[in-house]
Amino acid sequence: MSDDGLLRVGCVCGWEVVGTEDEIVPAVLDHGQRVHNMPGTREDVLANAKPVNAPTPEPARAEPEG
Amino acid sequence: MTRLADGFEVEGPVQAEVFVVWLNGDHLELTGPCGAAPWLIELGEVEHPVAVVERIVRDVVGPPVLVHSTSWRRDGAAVVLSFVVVIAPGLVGEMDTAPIGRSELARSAATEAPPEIAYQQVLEHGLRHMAWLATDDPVVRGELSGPWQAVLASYVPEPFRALG
Repeated sequence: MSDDGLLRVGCVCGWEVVGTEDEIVPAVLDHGQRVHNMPGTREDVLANAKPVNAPTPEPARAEPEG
Repeated sequence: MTRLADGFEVEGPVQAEVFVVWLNGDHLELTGPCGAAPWLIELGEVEHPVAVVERIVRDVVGPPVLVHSTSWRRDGAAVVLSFVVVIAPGLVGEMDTAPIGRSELARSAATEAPPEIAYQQVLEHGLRHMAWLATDDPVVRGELSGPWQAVLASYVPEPFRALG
Protein backbone atom coordinates (compact mmCIF):
# COMPACT_ATOMS: atom_id res chain seq x y z
CA MET A 1 0.00 0.00 0.00
CA SER A 2 1.32 3.42 -0.92
CA ASP A 3 1.87 6.02 1.78
CA ASP A 4 1.02 8.82 -0.64
CA GLY A 5 -1.40 11.23 0.95
CA LEU A 6 -1.01 9.82 4.44
CA LEU A 7 -0.32 12.23 7.26
CA ARG A 8 1.09 11.73 10.74
CA VAL A 9 0.33 13.74 13.88
CA GLY A 10 1.85 13.06 17.26
CA CYS A 11 1.09 14.29 20.75
CA VAL A 12 3.82 14.87 23.29
CA CYS A 13 2.14 12.27 25.50
CA GLY A 14 3.20 9.62 22.99
CA TRP A 15 -0.11 9.18 21.23
CA GLU A 16 0.13 9.23 17.43
CA VAL A 17 -2.19 8.86 14.48
CA VAL A 18 -1.51 8.13 10.82
CA GLY A 19 -4.11 8.39 8.09
CA THR A 20 -5.72 10.53 5.51
CA GLU A 21 -6.64 14.12 6.26
CA ASP A 22 -10.24 13.15 6.89
CA GLU A 23 -9.12 10.37 9.25
CA ILE A 24 -6.56 12.23 11.32
CA VAL A 25 -8.48 15.46 11.89
CA PRO A 26 -11.35 13.99 13.95
CA ALA A 27 -8.95 11.62 15.71
CA VAL A 28 -6.63 14.42 16.83
CA LEU A 29 -9.48 16.72 17.85
CA ASP A 30 -11.03 13.89 19.88
CA HIS A 31 -7.71 13.03 21.56
CA GLY A 32 -6.99 16.66 22.41
CA GLN A 33 -10.43 17.34 23.83
CA ARG A 34 -11.05 14.02 25.57
CA VAL A 35 -7.61 13.30 27.03
CA HIS A 36 -6.08 16.77 27.46
CA ASN A 37 -9.15 19.04 27.67
CA MET A 38 -7.80 21.03 24.73
CA PRO A 39 -10.07 22.47 22.08
CA GLY A 40 -8.72 22.75 18.55
CA THR A 41 -9.61 23.28 14.93
CA ARG A 42 -9.05 21.45 11.69
CA GLU A 43 -6.48 24.09 10.81
CA ASP A 44 -4.61 23.42 14.07
CA VAL A 45 -4.41 19.74 13.23
CA LEU A 46 -3.28 20.21 9.65
CA ALA A 47 -0.66 22.74 10.70
CA ASN A 48 0.89 20.01 12.86
CA ALA A 49 0.57 17.17 10.35
CA LYS A 50 3.55 15.78 8.49
CA PRO A 51 3.48 13.64 5.35
CA VAL A 52 4.31 10.04 6.19
CA ASN A 53 6.67 9.69 3.25
CA ALA A 54 8.39 13.01 3.77
CA PRO A 55 12.12 12.69 3.15
CA THR A 56 14.21 12.57 6.28
CA PRO A 57 16.74 15.40 6.35
CA GLU A 58 20.29 14.17 6.06
CA PRO A 59 22.45 14.85 9.08
CA ALA A 60 24.87 17.68 8.68
CA ARG A 61 28.38 16.59 7.76
CA ALA A 62 31.55 18.44 8.43
CA GLU A 63 33.53 19.22 5.31
CA PRO A 64 37.23 18.45 5.49
CA GLU A 65 39.38 21.51 5.79
CA GLY A 66 42.35 22.46 3.73
CA MET B 1 -2.85 23.87 20.31
CA THR B 2 0.83 24.56 19.80
CA ARG B 3 3.25 22.63 17.74
CA LEU B 4 6.56 21.40 19.03
CA ALA B 5 9.15 19.46 17.10
CA ASP B 6 7.70 16.15 18.27
CA GLY B 7 4.01 17.00 18.24
CA PHE B 8 1.27 18.81 20.10
CA GLU B 9 1.93 20.15 23.55
CA VAL B 10 -0.62 20.93 26.21
CA GLU B 11 -0.72 24.65 26.68
CA GLY B 12 -2.62 27.24 28.67
CA PRO B 13 -1.69 29.40 31.65
CA VAL B 14 -2.86 26.77 34.13
CA GLN B 15 -2.35 23.06 33.64
CA ALA B 16 -2.90 19.91 35.65
CA GLU B 17 -0.17 17.32 35.89
CA VAL B 18 -1.90 14.10 36.88
CA PHE B 19 -0.16 11.09 38.40
CA VAL B 20 -2.49 8.10 38.15
CA VAL B 21 -1.45 5.73 40.93
CA TRP B 22 -2.66 2.28 41.86
CA LEU B 23 -1.73 -0.36 44.41
CA ASN B 24 -0.34 -3.50 42.79
CA GLY B 25 -0.10 -5.96 45.66
CA ASP B 26 2.51 -4.54 47.99
CA HIS B 27 3.78 -1.62 45.89
CA LEU B 28 2.55 1.45 44.05
CA GLU B 29 2.58 1.82 40.28
CA LEU B 30 2.19 4.78 37.93
CA THR B 31 -0.10 4.45 34.95
CA GLY B 32 -2.40 6.54 32.80
CA PRO B 33 -3.51 7.07 29.21
CA CYS B 34 -0.08 8.54 28.43
CA GLY B 35 1.64 5.51 29.94
CA ALA B 36 3.65 5.42 33.15
CA ALA B 37 4.26 9.16 32.99
CA PRO B 38 2.69 12.44 34.01
CA TRP B 39 -0.59 13.17 32.24
CA LEU B 40 -1.06 16.83 31.28
CA ILE B 41 -4.52 18.37 31.15
CA GLU B 42 -5.36 21.92 30.19
CA LEU B 43 -7.37 23.82 32.79
CA GLY B 44 -9.83 26.44 31.62
CA GLU B 45 -11.06 29.59 33.29
CA VAL B 46 -14.46 28.38 34.45
CA GLU B 47 -14.38 24.89 35.93
CA HIS B 48 -12.70 24.12 39.23
CA PRO B 49 -9.38 22.33 38.62
CA VAL B 50 -10.37 19.38 40.81
CA ALA B 51 -13.64 19.04 38.91
CA VAL B 52 -11.83 19.06 35.56
CA VAL B 53 -9.34 16.40 36.66
CA GLU B 54 -12.08 14.23 38.16
CA ARG B 55 -14.18 14.51 34.99
CA ILE B 56 -11.36 13.78 32.55
CA VAL B 57 -10.07 10.84 34.61
CA ARG B 58 -13.59 9.44 34.90
CA ASP B 59 -14.20 9.77 31.15
CA VAL B 60 -10.85 8.38 30.00
CA VAL B 61 -9.84 5.89 32.71
CA GLY B 62 -12.84 5.32 34.94
CA PRO B 63 -14.11 6.57 38.30
CA PRO B 64 -11.21 7.56 40.55
CA VAL B 65 -10.97 6.60 44.21
CA LEU B 66 -9.22 9.82 45.22
CA VAL B 67 -8.27 13.08 43.50
CA HIS B 68 -5.92 15.34 45.42
CA SER B 69 -3.84 18.33 44.44
CA THR B 70 -0.49 17.94 46.13
CA SER B 71 1.76 20.78 44.95
CA TRP B 72 2.20 23.51 42.40
CA ARG B 73 5.03 25.05 40.47
CA ARG B 74 5.75 27.35 37.58
CA ASP B 75 6.90 25.62 34.41
CA GLY B 76 7.71 27.92 31.51
CA ALA B 77 4.73 30.20 30.94
CA ALA B 78 2.32 28.01 32.90
CA VAL B 79 1.42 27.32 36.48
CA VAL B 80 1.19 23.56 36.90
CA LEU B 81 -1.01 22.02 39.57
CA SER B 82 0.08 18.50 40.44
CA PHE B 83 -2.51 15.88 41.29
CA VAL B 84 -2.25 12.38 42.67
CA VAL B 85 -5.21 10.35 41.46
CA VAL B 86 -5.77 6.91 42.97
CA ILE B 87 -7.59 4.34 40.89
CA ALA B 88 -8.72 0.78 41.53
CA PRO B 89 -6.54 -1.99 40.05
CA GLY B 90 -9.34 -3.06 37.76
CA LEU B 91 -9.14 0.19 35.80
CA VAL B 92 -5.53 -0.22 34.65
CA GLY B 93 -6.51 -2.48 31.77
CA GLU B 94 -4.23 -2.05 28.75
CA MET B 95 -2.56 1.12 30.00
CA ASP B 96 1.21 0.96 30.46
CA THR B 97 2.16 0.79 34.12
CA ALA B 98 5.43 0.78 36.05
CA PRO B 99 6.49 0.54 39.69
CA ILE B 100 7.13 3.89 41.36
CA GLY B 101 10.68 4.29 42.63
CA ARG B 102 11.80 6.57 45.42
CA SER B 103 13.33 9.97 44.78
CA GLU B 104 14.93 12.82 46.65
CA LEU B 105 12.69 15.85 46.95
CA ALA B 106 13.41 19.03 45.02
CA ARG B 107 14.25 21.33 47.91
CA SER B 108 14.12 25.07 47.43
CA ALA B 109 16.38 27.70 48.89
CA ALA B 110 14.98 30.00 51.56
CA THR B 111 13.67 32.48 49.01
CA GLU B 112 14.16 30.76 45.67
CA ALA B 113 12.53 27.91 43.81
CA PRO B 114 14.56 24.82 42.90
CA PRO B 115 16.32 25.34 39.56
CA GLU B 116 15.13 22.00 38.20
CA ILE B 117 12.34 19.66 39.21
CA ALA B 118 11.98 16.15 37.82
CA TYR B 119 8.53 14.58 37.69
CA GLN B 120 9.76 11.80 39.95
CA GLN B 121 10.42 14.41 42.63
CA VAL B 122 6.93 15.84 42.19
CA LEU B 123 5.47 12.35 42.52
CA GLU B 124 7.60 11.61 45.59
CA HIS B 125 6.24 14.72 47.23
CA GLY B 126 2.71 13.82 46.12
CA LEU B 127 2.94 10.43 47.80
CA ARG B 128 4.33 12.02 50.95
CA HIS B 129 1.32 14.31 50.81
CA MET B 130 -0.97 11.29 50.55
CA ALA B 131 0.86 9.72 53.49
CA TRP B 132 0.13 12.87 55.46
CA LEU B 133 -3.54 12.84 54.46
CA ALA B 134 -3.82 9.17 55.32
CA THR B 135 -3.03 10.05 58.92
CA ASP B 136 -4.67 13.49 59.10
CA ASP B 137 -7.78 13.29 56.91
CA PRO B 138 -10.52 10.81 57.84
CA VAL B 139 -11.86 10.66 54.28
CA VAL B 140 -8.49 9.72 52.82
CA ARG B 141 -7.80 7.36 55.69
CA GLY B 142 -11.09 5.66 54.94
CA GLU B 143 -10.39 5.29 51.21
CA LEU B 144 -6.76 4.24 51.58
CA SER B 145 -7.09 1.63 54.23
CA GLY B 146 -5.45 -1.76 54.73
CA PRO B 147 -2.46 -2.37 52.43
CA TRP B 148 -2.35 1.29 51.38
CA GLN B 149 -1.52 2.27 54.94
CA ALA B 150 1.42 -0.11 54.98
CA VAL B 151 2.81 1.24 51.70
CA LEU B 152 2.33 4.89 52.62
CA ALA B 153 3.99 4.31 55.98
CA SER B 154 7.32 4.26 54.13
CA TYR B 155 6.76 7.85 52.99
CA VAL B 156 7.53 10.82 55.23
CA PRO B 157 4.24 12.64 55.78
CA GLU B 158 4.36 16.12 54.25
CA PRO B 159 1.55 18.61 53.57
CA PHE B 160 0.85 20.62 50.41
CA ARG B 161 3.64 22.87 49.25
CA ALA B 162 4.97 24.80 46.30
CA LEU B 163 7.81 23.18 44.41
CA GLY B 164 8.89 26.24 42.56
